[in-house]
Parts: sequence; structure tokens; C-alpha cells
Amino acid sequence: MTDAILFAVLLLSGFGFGQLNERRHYRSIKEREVQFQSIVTVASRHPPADEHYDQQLVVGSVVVASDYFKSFVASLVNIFGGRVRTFEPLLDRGRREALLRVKEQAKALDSSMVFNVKYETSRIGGAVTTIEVLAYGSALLPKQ
Amino acid sequence: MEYHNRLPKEGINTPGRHPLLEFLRLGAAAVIALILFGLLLNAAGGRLGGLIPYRVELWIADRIDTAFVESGVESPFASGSVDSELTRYLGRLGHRVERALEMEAPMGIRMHYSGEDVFNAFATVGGHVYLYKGLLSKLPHENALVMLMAHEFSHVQLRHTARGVGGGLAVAVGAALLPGGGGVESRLYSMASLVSTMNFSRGMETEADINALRAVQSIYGHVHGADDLFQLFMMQRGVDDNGRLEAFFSTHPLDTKRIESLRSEARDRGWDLTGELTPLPAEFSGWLDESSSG
Repeated sequence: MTDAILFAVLLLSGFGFGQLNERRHYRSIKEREVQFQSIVTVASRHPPADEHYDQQLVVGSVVVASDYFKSFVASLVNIFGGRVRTFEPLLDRGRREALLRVKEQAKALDSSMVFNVKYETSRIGGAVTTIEVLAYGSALLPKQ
Repeated sequence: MEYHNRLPKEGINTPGRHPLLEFLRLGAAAVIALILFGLLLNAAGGRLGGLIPYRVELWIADRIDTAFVESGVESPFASGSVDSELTRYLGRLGHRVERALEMEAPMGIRMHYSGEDVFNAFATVGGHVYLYKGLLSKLPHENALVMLMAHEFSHVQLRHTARGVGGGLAVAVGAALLPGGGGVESRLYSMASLVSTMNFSRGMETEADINALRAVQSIYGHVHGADDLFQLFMMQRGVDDNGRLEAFFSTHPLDTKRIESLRSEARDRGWDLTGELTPLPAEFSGWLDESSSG
């Protein structure tokens, strides 16, 4: 009985806090995406040839944890297979946040363009799924 | 070349579906799948359990008894051996029921009586049958007592106890084999297997009822009063038991259904439903009082 109550409390609090955090995070992401819209981030490996720039590596890294509710629903998907829909916003937030941090770093360097942007994702061990999303690229700096 | 960074369109990399809907859909599917899995294992294990020779069932009961003794805890199989007028009377009546049911060696009943005020009686492995004062004190006549004994003895004779052990073991093994044992799946599975075990048990109860009615007919020459046992259960519960939900979660068939099916069985076999009832011994309630004070 105690187990069942604990399970229900974890599930409910996971859902409540998870939803609240997700909503807040998305609000913040959307605001900053508008704020940093002028900084261009592209996957192309070839910077514009018309001008000469200095280059510097810029890195954005974020660690996001799932909540008990999301992990429970994901474990149910393990039985039947299919899309793990509860984890999709988690990864989406991770990628967008990491890219925003890349842009933040580029802006600090007075750069307006980041080329050759790449992502890497890794899972950090633990009872609840936690992921690290790393975004990096070459910031083009105006020649001094 | 011009480079632009337009704002990303929402809803492409994330699902439109609310996570609670996803939870309900998957949860319902998982429970249904696990109930089916549990039912299948329980039925298969129960069938195999019924094939275990009775001598092996006795050996299992002895092993359980030994395990209790070795751990220094009083074995439930050792209790109820107090010699009294009551236990002698129950023993004599029990032998009559065994003969009426044509139970032959090595199959035999080891009856236990408890002076606790518990409204219950049950049978378990090795032919151990437990009768409680709380139930016996409410029986209206001997015919109902014989029906009660014959019902519990039938669980032993029809190998329900062995089938129960087989089914339970199969379900336990299934739970251990589930991926991520001890995790979410096994938690759901144990809940589901509980329901499936109950369903299996109800079939046995009906079977035991019909077999017990045969013993009542054999001893008294009629079956009048046998269904009073279930009238008593109904009164004890004090509720209208026509609910479907109650039927699903109950280990026993609904009392009204049991009474109907007993009467229908008696009519089909041409057994008399109106014979004379045999009263319990005049000293019976005194014996019960002594048993709880002693």
C-alpha cells in the first residue's frame, strides 16, 4: 500500500512539476530566440568567401532531466514500441537551449555568424533519464 | 549568398498530443496486455498444478511445515489440535463428509478449528482445512455446516489447492521474467495477476459448490438447507450483491448466483429441496464459547 501511494505521489508530482518546468522553459526559449534572431547559425562548412574572418569555436551545452511521469510513460512505450512522445519535448528543449547558448557566446564575441553547427546528444546515467545536448560551431569574427 | 535565421515553426519536433492522453492510452493497453498474459500463465500453471500427484502436494505441505518449525515460528499446520467436544464432533462430521465425497487415501483432510471470531473457512495445500468460530457460530443447522465442510473438502478433492499453487507459481515466474523485473512492468503485472488469479478462483468455487451438494444429498437424502450457507454470507455482507463490479473483483461467485445454480443443479438431478433439517447439537454454542475462552 505504501508503495502504491509513493508511486502515485511520484507520478503526480512528476507530472505537475514537469509540465510547469516545460512551459517555463519553452517561454524562455521563445523569448531568447527572438532576442538572438540576428545571429545566424548554419550547418554549412563553407563561410562566405567575399570577406576574411577570424574563426573561433563556440560551444553551448545543456543538461536536461526527465521527470518521473515522462519516464513512466516512456517505460510503457517500451512494452509496445513506437514514438516516445513524452521525451520529444525534452530533446527539443535541449537542442534549442544548446543553440541559444552558442548564440549567446557568439554575441559575447561580437560575432553575427556561426558556421558548421553540429549537435551531439548523450545520456547521463541515473534512475531518471537525463540528457546532455552539446551544440558547437565556428563563430566568424570580424578581422581586427 | 544571404544567410537568414527564421524562427523555428512549433509542433514539428514535439507531439501535439497531451501527455495525460498518452499515459491513459498506454496504461490501459499495458494493463490489458498484462492481464491477458497473467490469465494465460495462471491457466497453464493451474492445469499443470492439477497434474501434480497428491503425494507431492503432501510433501510440499510438509516442507512448508518444516520451514515454519525451523524458523522458530509456530506452523499454521500444527494449530487447531486441541482435543475438545467440539473438535471431536467436527472430526466425526468431517469423516462422514469425506466418506460422502468418496475421498480415498492418500487424500485426507486435516481439519483445524480456531476460536477466533473470524467469519471465514478455507482449505489449503496438503488437505488442511480451517474452520473459524466466527462462521460456525452463525450456522443455522447441521446441513449448512456439512455444506460448508463439503465445500472446503471439495477444494482439496478437486485439486484446487494444487491448481492454485501451480497458477500462482507460474504467475510469479512470469513476473520475474518480465524485462526490467521489479520495475514498472512487474508492478503493473502483479496488480493484473491478482485480478486474473481471482477470476480463476471463482471457477473453482462454483465447481466446489456442486461437488459439495452431492455430499449433502448423500448424507441427508435431500439438499434442503445447503443454500442457507450462502443466504448467511449474503446477510453477513449486508449488501445487495448484484453489482457487476463486485462480481469482477470478488474471489467467489455472487451469493445469489450460487444459490440459483445450486437449486438448478438439485432440480436437474432430481434431488429433494424440501427434506427435514438436522439441528446442530444442543451443546454446540456452549462448545464454541468454551473454545474461545479456553
